[in-house]
Amino acid sequence: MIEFQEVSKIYTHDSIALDNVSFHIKPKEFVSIIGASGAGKTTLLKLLMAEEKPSSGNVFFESADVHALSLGDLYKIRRKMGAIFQDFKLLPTKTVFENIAFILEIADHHTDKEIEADTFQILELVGLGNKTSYFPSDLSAGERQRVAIARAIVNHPDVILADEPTGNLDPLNTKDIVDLLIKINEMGTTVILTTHNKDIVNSLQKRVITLEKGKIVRDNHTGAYLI
Amino acid sequence: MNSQLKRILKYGLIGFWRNGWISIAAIFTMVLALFVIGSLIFSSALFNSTLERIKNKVDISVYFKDATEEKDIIAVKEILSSLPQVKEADYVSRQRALDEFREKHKNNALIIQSLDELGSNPFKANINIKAKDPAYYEAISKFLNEGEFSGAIEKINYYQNKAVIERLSEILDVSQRTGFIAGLILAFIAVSVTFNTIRLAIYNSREEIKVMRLVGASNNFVRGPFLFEGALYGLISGFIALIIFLPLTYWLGPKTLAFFGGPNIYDYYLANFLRFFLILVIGGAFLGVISSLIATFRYLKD
Repeated sequence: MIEFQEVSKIYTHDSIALDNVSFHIKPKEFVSIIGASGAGKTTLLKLLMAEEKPSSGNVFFESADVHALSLGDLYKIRRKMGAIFQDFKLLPTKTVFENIAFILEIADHHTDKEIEADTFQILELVGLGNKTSYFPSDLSAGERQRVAIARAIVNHPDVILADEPTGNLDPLNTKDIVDLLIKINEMGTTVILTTHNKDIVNSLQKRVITLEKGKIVRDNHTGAYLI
Repeated sequence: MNSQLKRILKYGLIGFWRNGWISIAAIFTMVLALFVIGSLIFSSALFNSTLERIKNKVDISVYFKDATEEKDIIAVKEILSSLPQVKEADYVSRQRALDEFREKHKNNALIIQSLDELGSNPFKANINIKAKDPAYYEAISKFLNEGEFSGAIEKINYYQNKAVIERLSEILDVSQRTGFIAGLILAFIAVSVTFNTIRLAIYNSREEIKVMRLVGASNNFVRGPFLFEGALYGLISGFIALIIFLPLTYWLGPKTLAFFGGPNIYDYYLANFLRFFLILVIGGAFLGVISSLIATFRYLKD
């Protein structure tokens, strides 16, 4: 489903984010990507979303080379990926409701009524049913993170890309979010999670890819956090 | 598509409303720009009518020898009228010249008395010629001098006034060209100020544009609301400028009429209202859309 073929990303010659990385992720997998800060985890997700271009190598998503796609096709691929960004990347001038509804509106598959119903439902699910008309700046970090998650899952993507989704959260919120990701995965969605939270990875008992200085140093099927 | 368009318009309106201060700043700048463009149109109307009036004051007369028969003079007049450079050729008979002179100086006893003492009519029959452009007088005079009827011509007063006419014609040319270039530069400044204001407004949203694209919005869906916002800026600014000109021209109208000798710009404004509407409101909206289109382009190209 997702394949990295000998992918390198070199910013400057002494700043190599990814160095000849290859791996394959099958549908419905739950993969944790771990490593220290600067190991290349975020770059990896950016390359998959075609937010950045690789210096060499190819990235495939559902057999399409994402960096060979035209602008007219790229956004369609992105609609199949639900991304949860480290810095949330919510739309600051849109309300919580609009941030979620926007995802359904751009797809143009739903009527306004359906969009409203789906949006309220997903916001109830993440516990923000009472804050739909708030702006992101009015929310706490944990609440923003939940909006980001709601946005990522609302249109039932094929894969969830979660970049340090628990980085800013207290342990209680962290557990909620990890449980939510597990639930999404059990319902059949592929999940890629980057983190440096040891407890999460150890509790998951799922596949773990370990990055170190841009290289894959370990790829275990039921891995633990070993650095 | 219909629901997509509706959503794009909705987000355009929301953006316009929520970016309140930016919208106000953009509209304020655009009103100034459109006001400059509108003022240019008024200035050019005043300027051109003034130039036209000066041009009209220039004419030449060709005087005929006393022995020339009237039908020959009228024949020359017909030929002159048919020339493409000639706007007007007016035959003035000896009697008419005398009458006009008497009428003009009827209050001056000395002149009338001298004329009476003279006994005969001292005036010559002539044709008064107005060219479409002062630059043509040279060619018209030459044509008369070298034509078959040159023998009947006593004199052409162009040659006495040649230096003045040429100089005037030159000044008119230069001022017309200078006015045009100055107008062009001012219009260009007005347009670029508008463009840059909208560009700044959109620059402010660059992160949002990036996020929208990352979550799968098509370029058209991202761009659409900004184009609509640009159109709104233009429409509102155009209407404001249109309204400002009403009391302003009403107040200035009599003054311009007195100073330039016409037209009254208030009457001019009302007579050309549709044109001003098209230029300020529709042109403003167009300018807003184009500016937004160019400004968003750089955030959507890869």
